[in-house]
Amino acid sequence: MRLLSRKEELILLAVWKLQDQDQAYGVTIREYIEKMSGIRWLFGAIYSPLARLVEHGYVESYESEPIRERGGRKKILYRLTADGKKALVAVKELHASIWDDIYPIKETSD
Amino acid sequence: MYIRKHKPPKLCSRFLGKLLRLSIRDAAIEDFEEQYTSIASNKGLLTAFLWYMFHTICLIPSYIKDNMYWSTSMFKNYLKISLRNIKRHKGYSFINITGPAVGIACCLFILLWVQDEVSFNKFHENIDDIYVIVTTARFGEDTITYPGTPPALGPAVKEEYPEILNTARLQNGLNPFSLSYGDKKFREGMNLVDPSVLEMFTFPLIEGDPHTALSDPHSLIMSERMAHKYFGSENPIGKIVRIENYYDFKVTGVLEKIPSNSSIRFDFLAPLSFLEELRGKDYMSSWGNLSFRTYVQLQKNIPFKSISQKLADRLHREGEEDVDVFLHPFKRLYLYWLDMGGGHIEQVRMFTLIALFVLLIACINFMNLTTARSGNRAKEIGLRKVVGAYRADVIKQFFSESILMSFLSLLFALGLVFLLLPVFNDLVGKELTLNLFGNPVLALGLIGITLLTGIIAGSYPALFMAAFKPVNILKGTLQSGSSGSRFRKILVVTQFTISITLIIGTMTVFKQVVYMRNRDLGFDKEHLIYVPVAKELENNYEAVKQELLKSPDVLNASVTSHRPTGIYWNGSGWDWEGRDPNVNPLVTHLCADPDFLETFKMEMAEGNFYPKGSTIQTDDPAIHIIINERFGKIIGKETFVGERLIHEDDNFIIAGVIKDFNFKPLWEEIGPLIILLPLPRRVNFMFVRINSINMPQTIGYIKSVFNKFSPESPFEYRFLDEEFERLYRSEIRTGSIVSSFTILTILVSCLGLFGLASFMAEQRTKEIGIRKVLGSSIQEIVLLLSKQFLKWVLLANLIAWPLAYYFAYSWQRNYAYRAGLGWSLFILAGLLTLAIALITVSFQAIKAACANPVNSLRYE
Repeated sequence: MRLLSRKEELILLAVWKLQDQDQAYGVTIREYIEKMSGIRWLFGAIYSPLARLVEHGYVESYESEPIRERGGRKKILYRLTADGKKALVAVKELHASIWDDIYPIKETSD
Repeated sequence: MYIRKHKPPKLCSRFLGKLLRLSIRDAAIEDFEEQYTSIASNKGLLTAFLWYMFHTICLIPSYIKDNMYWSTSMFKNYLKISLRNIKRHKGYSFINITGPAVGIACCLFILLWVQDEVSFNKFHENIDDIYVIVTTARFGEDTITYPGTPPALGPAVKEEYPEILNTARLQNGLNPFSLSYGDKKFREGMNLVDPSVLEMFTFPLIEGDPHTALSDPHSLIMSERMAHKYFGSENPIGKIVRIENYYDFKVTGVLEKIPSNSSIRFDFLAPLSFLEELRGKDYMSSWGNLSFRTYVQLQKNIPFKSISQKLADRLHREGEEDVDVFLHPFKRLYLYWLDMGGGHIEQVRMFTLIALFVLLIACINFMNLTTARSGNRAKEIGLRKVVGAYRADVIKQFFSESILMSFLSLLFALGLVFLLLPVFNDLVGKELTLNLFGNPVLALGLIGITLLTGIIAGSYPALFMAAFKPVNILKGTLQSGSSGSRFRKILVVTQFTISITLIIGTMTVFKQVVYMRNRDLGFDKEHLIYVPVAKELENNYEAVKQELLKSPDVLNASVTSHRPTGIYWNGSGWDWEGRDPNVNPLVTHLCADPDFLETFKMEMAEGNFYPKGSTIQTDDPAIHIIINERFGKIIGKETFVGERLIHEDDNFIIAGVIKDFNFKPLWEEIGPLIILLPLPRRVNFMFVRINSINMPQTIGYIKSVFNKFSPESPFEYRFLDEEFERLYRSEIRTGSIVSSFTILTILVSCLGLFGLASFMAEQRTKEIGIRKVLGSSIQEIVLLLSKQFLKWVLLANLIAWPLAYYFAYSWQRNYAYRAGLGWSLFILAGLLTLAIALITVSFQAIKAACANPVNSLRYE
C-alpha cells in the first residue's frame, strides 16, 4: 500500500471527521485543517492532493441533497472509502511502531 | 427561491477549470464560486474578483509541476518505443536518419556561407556612413550605370558641402606596374588612392602612421605578404622601391592582412597624385573621365538621398549634362550591387533555396516511409487509443519521434560537416570554419533547422496516424500501405520534380560554360601569349618584334593597348555626316599595330587593315582608323572606306571595317569599336603567336629577347586562352556548387525511393509468390513492381520541364551570347532520372521477383 503524504493524511482525516454531517467538501476541509493546525492554506492548495486521493480511490465523491444556498443545486461531497480508512490506519500504525522504539522524548528533553 | 447574485466571470472559471485535475474539477469550481459569492456579498465585487484571480494564479505552479510529471513520463515511453523501432528496422532507420542528416549538413554549409557573404565589408567601423558615388551616363538613347566618377568630383564636393565628412578616390583599373627592389623584379597591380582611404575604411597598418603614410607623393604601402616577398625578414619601412624602372617610391607602411570578407582588396597602395606624373598635370582635374571610384563618408544621420541631388548639381555646373550621380550605401554594394539586380544576393537566395530543397526531400522520405509503414505501428496506436490516449497524444508521440530522428540526424550532419568542410571551402573558394560556440546565430539557426525538420517530417505522419480508428485497427480491416498512397504519390513526384529541375539547371550552367569556352570569338585565342610591355620599350617595340620573328616558332607579334578579354576604354561624342541627333554611341577604343589582324587571325569586312610599318601621325589632319561591323551598322551606310568621322574637333577617316569579334566577356554584347595605330603611352601588351610545338623553348627565346631589350623590367607572360578561362571562373564555380547539391538531392531522393520500393515489395511478397506459381516470369514481376515508380518519375519530368525552362531561361538572359536550352537537355535529364529511378527500384524488384515462392506461400 502506498504511504500517504502529510497533506493527504490531513485531508483524509478531515474528510473522516466531516463526512458524518455530510459536510466534507473543499471549503470545509480546508477550514477544518486550518482550524486544527493553525497553519493557513491557500484556497486552492487542497485540490491537488485531493485529486490524487480521488484517483487512488481513497476518497469518493457523492452528491448531497439539493441545497437552498446553491439555488437548489446539488453539492459534491466526499467520503472515505474502505481503502482510505486502511491507508490512514496504515500510517497510524507505522507511526506507532516507530514511536514505540524511541525513548520517551519528554524524559530526555527535560 | 434563493437566487445567487454574484457569480465569477465565465472566462475566469473556465481558466480555473483548465488548471485543475479532471477528477475534482467540478467540485473545486463550485467551491471557488461559493467562496467568491460570500466574499462578494461581504466585501464587494472587486475584492472577490481579486481574490478569485489571486487564488487561480496560485494554482499555476502546481499545475505545471503536475503536467511536467505526466508529459515527461509519457515522453520517456515515446522515447523508448522510438529507440526500439529504430533498432528493430535498421534499414529504414538508416534512410530516415541519413537523409535529413545530408539535408541538415547542406543547410549548415549554406548557413556558414551565407553568414560570410552577409558579413562582407561589415568590418569597417564607419560602414554605415560610407557611400559610393554611382554614375548614370547617357549616350544617345542608351544609359549605363556604374560606380565611376570624374576625378575632380570628390575634392570639389568635400570642400563645398559640410555634410560630407570625407571622400576617397580609388583607381584600380590600371595595368600592372613593374616594381623592383634589388634583384627582385615583378609586375604588380597597384591601387592609387587618396590618403583619406586609411581614415575612412578600417585598413589598419602594422607599421607606419596611417595619417602620414600616403602624404608624400612617392610613398608606398604594401601588404605583409608583399613586404615579405620583396624584403624577406628585413624591415620594409624606408626601403626604396623602383617603379616602372623610373620612379623611386619609399615604403611608408605595411598593411595588416585584409579580412577575406572585404570587397576592396589590394597589395600595394600609392597616392593618387602619381597619376598626374604619369598622365599629365590636368588629368586629375578632369570632369569628363568617369573612371574613378569615389567613396563618400557623410556626417552621422544625414539622409543620403538629399546629398545625391547636391552631387548631381555640382556635376551639372561643370557642364556635364549627360551624367547623373547618386549615392549608394557601401554596405549594400556587395550583396545588392546598385539595386539594379545582380549582386551576390541572387546567389545567396539560390543556394539557400537549393539547401532547403535537399532538406525538404529528406523530410519527404521520412513522411513517405513512416506513413507507408504505418501498418506496422497501427496496432500500437490502436491499443494506445483504447487505453485512453487522445488524438493529441498520438500526434505528440509521432512528433517526438520525428524530432528525435532529426536530432540524431543533426549529430550525423555535424560529423559530415566537420569532415567535408575543407572540400566545401575548396568548392566555394572561402575559408569558412565551424565554431558553434563562438557563433550563437549559427548554433541557434542549426537547432531551429533541426526542429523545423522534425516538425515538417513529423507533421503528415502524426496527423495521418492519429486519425486511425481503433475499432478498424483492432478488427484488422485497416489496409496497411494502401491508405494515404495518393498523398505519398504527390510527395514522390515533388521530390523528383525538384531533382529534375536541379539537374536541368546544372546542365544549363555547364552548357553555357562550354559554349563560352568554345564560341568563335572572331579570332584565334589558342597559342597566343602576351607580355606586358615595359615603359622603356614603348618606342622600341618594332625592334623587339623583329628580333622575336627571327625564331621560326614565333609566327607573328603585335602590340596593343588592351587585352581582348575586356576592353573598357570607352568614349562617346562621335559624329559623322547624316548622324541621327539621338544616336550617340559609346565607342570602345583600341590601339593596335598593323600586325594585329594577322596575329589574332581576324578578317576584314571591307577595305584593308593598316599597311605594314605605318605609324600614327597625330599631326595628320585626318587620322586613319578601323571600325568594326557593329559601328558600321550604327553609322548605317553602304560603304565605309573613306568616310569621315569627327570626334572633339579631330577628323578621322575610316580605312577599313574589321569583322566583329568579342572584345568583352560573353555576357556583354559586341559594341562599336575603333582601332587606332598605337598612341604614345598606349602600348601595353605584346601579343605573340607561337607554334604549338617547342613551346617551352619558344617562351624561353621570347624571355631572352625581352631581357635583352629591357633588362631592368621583369618578364612575365600569360596565355590568352587561360585568361579567358579565368573570366568564366564564377560560372564554373556556380556550376560545380549547383551540381554537388544536385547530386545530393538525387541521392536522397533515391534513398527514399529505395525504401519505398523495398517496403512495397515486402508488402506484396505473397502476391508475387502466387503470380510466380501461376506462371509469371521474373521480367513481368519486375515490370509490375517498377511500373508505378516509373510513372511517378515521368509525371515529375512533365512538371519539372516547364519549371526548369523558366529558371534556366531567366538565368541565361544575363548573357548576351547564350548557349540556348534545346530539347536534348530536357530529354537527357528525363532519361537520366528515369534510369536512376529504375536502377534504384529494380534492385528491390529483382530481389522480390527472384525469391522462391515456396518461402512466401508456405504458411498459407
